[in-house]
Amino acid sequence: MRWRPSGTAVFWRLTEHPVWAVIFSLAFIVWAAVFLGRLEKETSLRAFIPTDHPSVLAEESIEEIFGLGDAFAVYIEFQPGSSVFDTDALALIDDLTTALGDIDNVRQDRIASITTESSISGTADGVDVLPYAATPIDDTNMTSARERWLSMPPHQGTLVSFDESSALVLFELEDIGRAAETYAAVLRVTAAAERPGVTLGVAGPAAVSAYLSERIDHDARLLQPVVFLVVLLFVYLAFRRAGAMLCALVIVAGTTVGALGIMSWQGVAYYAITNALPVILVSVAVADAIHVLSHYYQLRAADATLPVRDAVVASMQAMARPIFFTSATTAAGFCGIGLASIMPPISYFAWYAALGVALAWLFSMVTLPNAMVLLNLKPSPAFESWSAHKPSVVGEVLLAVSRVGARRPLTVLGAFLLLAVLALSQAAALRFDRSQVENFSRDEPIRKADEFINAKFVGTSFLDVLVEAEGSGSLLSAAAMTQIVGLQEHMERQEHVALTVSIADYLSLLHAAIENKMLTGRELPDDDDAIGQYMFVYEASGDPTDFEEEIDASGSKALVRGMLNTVYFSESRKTVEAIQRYIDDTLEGTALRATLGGDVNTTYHWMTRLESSHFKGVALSLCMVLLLSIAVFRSVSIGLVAVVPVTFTVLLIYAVMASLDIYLEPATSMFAAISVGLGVDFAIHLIDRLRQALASEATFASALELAIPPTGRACFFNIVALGLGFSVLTLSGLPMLQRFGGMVALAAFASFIAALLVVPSWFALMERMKKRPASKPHEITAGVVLLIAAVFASTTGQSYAATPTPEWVAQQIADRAEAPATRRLIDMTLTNRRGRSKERQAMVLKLVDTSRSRMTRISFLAPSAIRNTTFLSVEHEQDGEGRWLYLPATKRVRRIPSSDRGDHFLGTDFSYEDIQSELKFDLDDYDFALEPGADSNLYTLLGQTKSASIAKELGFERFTATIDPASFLPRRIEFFKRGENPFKVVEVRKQAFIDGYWTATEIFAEHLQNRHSTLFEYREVTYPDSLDPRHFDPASLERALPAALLQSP
Amino acid sequence: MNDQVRFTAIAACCCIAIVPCADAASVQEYTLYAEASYAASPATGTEVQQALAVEAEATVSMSESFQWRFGARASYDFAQRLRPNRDDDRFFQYANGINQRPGIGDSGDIELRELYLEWHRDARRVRLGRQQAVWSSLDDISMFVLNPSDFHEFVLSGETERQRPQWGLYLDVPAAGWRLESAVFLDNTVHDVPDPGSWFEFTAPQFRFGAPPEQATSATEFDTELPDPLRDATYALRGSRSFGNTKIVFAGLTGNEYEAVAEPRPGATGPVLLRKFPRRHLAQIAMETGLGSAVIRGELVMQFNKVLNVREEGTLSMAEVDVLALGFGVDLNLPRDVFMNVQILLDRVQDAPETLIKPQRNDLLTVTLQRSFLYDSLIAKWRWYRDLEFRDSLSQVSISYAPSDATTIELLGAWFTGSPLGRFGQFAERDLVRLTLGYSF
Repeated sequence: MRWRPSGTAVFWRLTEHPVWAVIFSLAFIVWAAVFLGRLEKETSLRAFIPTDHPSVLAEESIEEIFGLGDAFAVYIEFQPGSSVFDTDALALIDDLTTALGDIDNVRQDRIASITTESSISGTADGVDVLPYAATPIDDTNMTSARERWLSMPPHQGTLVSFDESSALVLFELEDIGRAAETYAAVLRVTAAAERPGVTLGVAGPAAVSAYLSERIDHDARLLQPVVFLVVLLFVYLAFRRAGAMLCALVIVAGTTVGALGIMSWQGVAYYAITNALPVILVSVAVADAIHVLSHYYQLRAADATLPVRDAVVASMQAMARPIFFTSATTAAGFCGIGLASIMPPISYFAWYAALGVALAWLFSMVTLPNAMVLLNLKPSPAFESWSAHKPSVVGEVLLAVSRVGARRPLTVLGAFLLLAVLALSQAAALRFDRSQVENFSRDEPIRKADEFINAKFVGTSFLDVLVEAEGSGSLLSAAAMTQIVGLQEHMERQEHVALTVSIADYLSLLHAAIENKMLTGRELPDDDDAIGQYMFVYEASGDPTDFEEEIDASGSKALVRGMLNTVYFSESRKTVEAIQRYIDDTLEGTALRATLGGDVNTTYHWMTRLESSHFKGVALSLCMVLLLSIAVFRSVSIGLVAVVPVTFTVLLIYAVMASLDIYLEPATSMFAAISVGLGVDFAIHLIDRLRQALASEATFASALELAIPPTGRACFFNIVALGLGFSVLTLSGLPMLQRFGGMVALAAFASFIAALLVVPSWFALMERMKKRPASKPHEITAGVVLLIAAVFASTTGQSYAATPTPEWVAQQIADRAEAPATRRLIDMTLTNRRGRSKERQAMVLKLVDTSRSRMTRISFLAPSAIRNTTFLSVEHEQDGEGRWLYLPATKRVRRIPSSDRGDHFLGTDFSYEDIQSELKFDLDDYDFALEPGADSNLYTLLGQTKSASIAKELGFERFTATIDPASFLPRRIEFFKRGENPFKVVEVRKQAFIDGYWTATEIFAEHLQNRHSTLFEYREVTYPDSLDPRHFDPASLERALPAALLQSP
Repeated sequence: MNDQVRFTAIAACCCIAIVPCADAASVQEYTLYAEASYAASPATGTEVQQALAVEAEATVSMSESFQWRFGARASYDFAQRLRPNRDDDRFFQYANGINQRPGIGDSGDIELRELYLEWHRDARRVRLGRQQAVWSSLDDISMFVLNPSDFHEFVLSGETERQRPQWGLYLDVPAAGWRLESAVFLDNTVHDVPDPGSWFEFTAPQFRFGAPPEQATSATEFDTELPDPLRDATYALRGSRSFGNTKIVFAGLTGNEYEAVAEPRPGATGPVLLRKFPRRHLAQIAMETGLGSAVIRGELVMQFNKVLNVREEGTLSMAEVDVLALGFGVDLNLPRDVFMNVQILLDRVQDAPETLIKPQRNDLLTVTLQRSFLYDSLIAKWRWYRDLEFRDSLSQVSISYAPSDATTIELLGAWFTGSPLGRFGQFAERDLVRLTLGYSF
């Protein structure tokens, strides 16, 4: 059924009771406004992850068990050459600690500095737990304090900088919601403590987060109303009538207040990025109002005698269709983002933006005409020229611009294509990253303080590991502590991990003290009882609650806290992944269970989720806009033209972000969504009006003259209003808001200019085609389809262009370091569909020699029926591959013909290719592509065989592999022959970093049709410098391997 | 005396190996394999085999470089008389002393398959004791015969299973990029051919001085002149090396024949056929190469001055001829995971006298098709032997299934077709279907 625009009858009926209609509208706004006060702010990092996400649960557990929360950090830097271990310096730190502790909202029990902490040392009687700031604070005690501090690794770089010139006071808050207020109080205390030769600063995760939240709120609260005012002012300037401004105000208020009020009513929190929502809704709402008002004033200018209600109804009748189209496409765009996003704040943002667009449409269709009737809008002086059916100056200029496209359509479209390509190439440099502190300008004291602390101390970013075991006291064993120490040592080997602290550190200190030994690393007692006794000794000597942050009272949960000296996601992600892999590989199957937590982990999870969903969301959004445009215009080509400007705008935004080194993070990721929301409207308005004009006008030129000036003018004022309005945000002191304002303004202008040039160009081209029968308009359409498809593909693939390309990922896999020599034992388990298993064991030797020959020898060790059966493969770069098989029963080494690479490898579910390629993909065999996968931490690489012969040889046509970006080992490969269902999967279930090589230590292959599977478990993997090449001589297969090779290393 | 020499050598080996290493001895690996088979003849409907066999193998490591290898096999057939004339000295009892195969009645065999001491270091290897070596290139076709064979079921068993071990010394050393192997067998074991009355009785022409099948039992009185283990010892040397993708082998051998020729001698009660095992001299050139997905093998073996029987004026006599054997084999992986092996053997007596009893040509074609199913658990195999001279053939179809690593079940069918005088056609009445169940411990 064809959609029909609202007829006049509808709008006549709608405007019968303008007073009531406006009252009802205002009542709704008041109702919604009531809920605005109930909006709950949620500015924590965790908000970006679903509440049931393991990282959130772990973080909550850590807070609950160990009482840890985000901390403030106050640093005191003494002039060069001075030391913290000075009587005056320590007295100042002590005073400052006391003053900070006296601040309301600071937890007295959670304040720490060198003056509140104690050292552990051994005495003839046992253990001495002595405060550093032992009274009196004199030179003798200072010397002692310094010596004791030097023997306490957990306090080095944490309480006092390594060079002893600075100290930290760390404290947590009673109520994190009052962090901004506390921050101000802390600043007052530090200001009071300042004196010559001493510098103080405030930072720490809680301070940064709180201050940022406060600043954003402050600036947004201050500047957003200014944005509204500027927009409304510009509406006034556009129509030069206060009534018009009031009408726009009602629509804007109804839309923004309504959407936010409903959001609050439904209990959805106000996230940091929700700050962008009112701005979006203002732009959408004001656009609708401007278009209706423009048409109204044109009518009134053309016929001053026309009754107001007639003019209003006629304007509504004319604008209902394009407003519906723009509302529907904009809402579809936001729905696409809402569907694709897996981060709650972004999802809510998108859904409530879509709701706001719907409200804007509703208010524009119902409230606006009634308000116009009620206010009895008089003709506007701004439209006087229209009385002579002559466009305004703005209309004339816009018409001239559009004529450029109409006269040289191919040139204009080509230029846009070129620009799109250039933008795309620039956008390739876009990256995902995040640093909370970069939201402040470089001269902000809090940023300076944060950078100082990260440079001088062990860092302000925490990566926690919650270690658990079943049963009370289960961690108080030598074995468990050894595992914890192993975890710590692994963490400390990672880049940016400056220090880790756990109960094991204190136990090793106690061990050294009690055994009267020098502290050398983390040396622990071998005896389980000793650990419990050490704890008891400490409790008898020091504060029994001192270890609350390291281990719980039951002794079954411990915290390992890693301190990172970086605040960038891009730098900490590898650390998080490496530690998680260590936990998976090393602690799995043991009595210990470990879970990552801390702000670094939280950031990692929501950034990786953003990475996986962002471009998918934008692509889906554009797709939905495209589909709806096709539906409303009932033309594929016109639907495509409608999305070209917005697609261009999105690319442009990405390119500008990349050029300005603005990385993608939750806040900046909204830029693309805003571009979609803003950009699509202009093209749709222009297309709709131009089509109507073409239906009534004899020539394309006259249709252009009829359509562009009024519509273009309305769009122009809409854009200028938005552009100027958002430019106000650049006045903020926060780079984040500056970027936001600038980008939205840029998106608005770019969309408009693109629409003004591309739409007339396209219609002109189509008109030319109609006049030339030999030409085929659908060919042009196909061309545009290809163009759009290319842009879409570029946009969707851009997430990886910004980081890796498919070829890059494939190259990384191919370049994965391969040891020149490998020795490993394989336990093979072959299981049929009935669950019956066969087991084999083999020794695998591999050697890559200097002549680039890759030699693999597999000697079966069990079961007895196949013992000593040996397979040898020698791949020469030039001579191809040779294979030999020695069967003991035949007493002859038999050369066997090379199989297809896809053939079963020695009766397993693996193919020769799987085994010999070492899970790499030959770059000559495949065309690669990347697609966003379910797991944002992994690349999803698609490989399509380049030819039928390669597919035949490999036994499959394509594969989909999820690739671990750290090791570039595949985690899972699905192989497809035909259709959408894989016939075989290969999984790397375990991997390890052994002797500098990433190694798959457990590989599983399953044929999905017959449910037969093979599991390879690698043991005793070693990478010797070399292996005797004689083991790879076919003649040697008759000989058993030397015992030295067979024995465990 | 000969037996004493062998015993002394073995004892010396044992002393050398055991005395210094007894403390370090450990069983490195061992296998026990049991097999039960049942065969029936479809033509006659009779049971032709109800056999049980047990094989044991063990490797005992004495030190890092020394190890003992042991292997033995015992079999008993309730349906066949494997050795119907075991105790008859007159008839085909070539073995004596410790080389004589002990048995269980006339239906059971016990054989020491391996008993040797091995020393190895890097690529060097020395074996001393009872052993066998395979130096042929083709599958189941022995052109360069190093050890004698058991022909009781000569077409139904594999080459190494058929091969008879011998006492001797084997060396394997690398030298200038070559692999050099040498073997010295101080042993007078010869081919073990079926006795009259056994399943594959002594009817094949090539084992009866070339006599045709109908003369199978025409001999009256026999005498045997066994080779002397020391004087007639077998010496063999082999060198092999790979050049790129191709492996080249050169080998030479001198030793006694394993196949008898008959020399008529006057006897007390009439002529006696003296069976002799004259000296033989072999040279071999072989190559193996890979060509794409194919492996090609070629082997040329020349036997110089081979002594064969000729029939002149109604009596047997002997003549020296050269015999050239040329063999080719191709392995191919065909589509649908089918493996194919094609081999052709052209065995020609050079300048053969017209009176030669043995056929001048002994050409053979074999074709094997094999496909594995269920991840190599099920292997279907068809093998076809074609004698190009007599134009007769043998088809073997087998399906073997391994439900577990330890268990194998094989169903085999063998069909002989062709002339009763031919290599295979003579067994036309002896088609069989055999079911074998094997288990490894």
